[in-house]
Amino acid sequence: MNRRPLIAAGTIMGIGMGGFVDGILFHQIFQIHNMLSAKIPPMSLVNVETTMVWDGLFHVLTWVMTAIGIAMLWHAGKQQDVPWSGRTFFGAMVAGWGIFNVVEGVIDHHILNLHHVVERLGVSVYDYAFLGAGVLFLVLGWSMMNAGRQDELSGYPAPAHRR
Amino acid sequence: MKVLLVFWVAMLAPFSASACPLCHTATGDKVRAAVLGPDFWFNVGVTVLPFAVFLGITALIYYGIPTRELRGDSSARTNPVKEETT
Repeated sequence: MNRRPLIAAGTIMGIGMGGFVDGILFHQIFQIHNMLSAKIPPMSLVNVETTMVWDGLFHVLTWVMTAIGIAMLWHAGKQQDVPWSGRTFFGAMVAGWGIFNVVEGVIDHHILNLHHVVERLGVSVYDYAFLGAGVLFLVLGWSMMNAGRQDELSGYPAPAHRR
Repeated sequence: MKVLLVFWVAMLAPFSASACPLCHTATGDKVRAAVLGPDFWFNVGVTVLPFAVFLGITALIYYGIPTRELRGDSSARTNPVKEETT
């Protein structure tokens, strides 16, 4: 049994979906930060429009991650030796969301200072909560994937076309 | 109520459209200049950077961590220890 294709597909889909949560919720609905809002403060129409372009590029990239995940999941579904475990796949998605928060948080919020969770506060407790949520998602996803090991041992039912 | 909503959308649309980065208006020109400024490639790079890391992590999960043996490095294999003859 080879779980890697399913875990990799779930992880990159989780990264993409986590990116969409950040982009849609924080950038667009709440508007508490934008991709380059620490560099280009959205205080004028021109700046708002400019940051919107970089938010667009961010969303393009999250879309690409999700699309790659769908393609990888499709490929994994066709492989006979890949166990079709929901716990493994959704665990990988949760872990992927955690990876998104940790990597994006460390690089963009703390190292490059491109933006912060609540831009008007700069580096704040919310940035650490963002990282903490990422670590929590990683642990949760890891434990779900671990539980998914049982699925392959107990002959977890495969989709009809693979039987 | 619907008439009012349509009215407000119609009133707002020309204003927002005139600021689009592709529009040949004063605001559109400024937005285009700001996006395509001297730090354009820097901004592209820093936006792409985390995603390059994500792809690397996914590749590591899919292919596994490359070990010396997988790379064909024979020195990584343990050589049989020669027995000392006395």
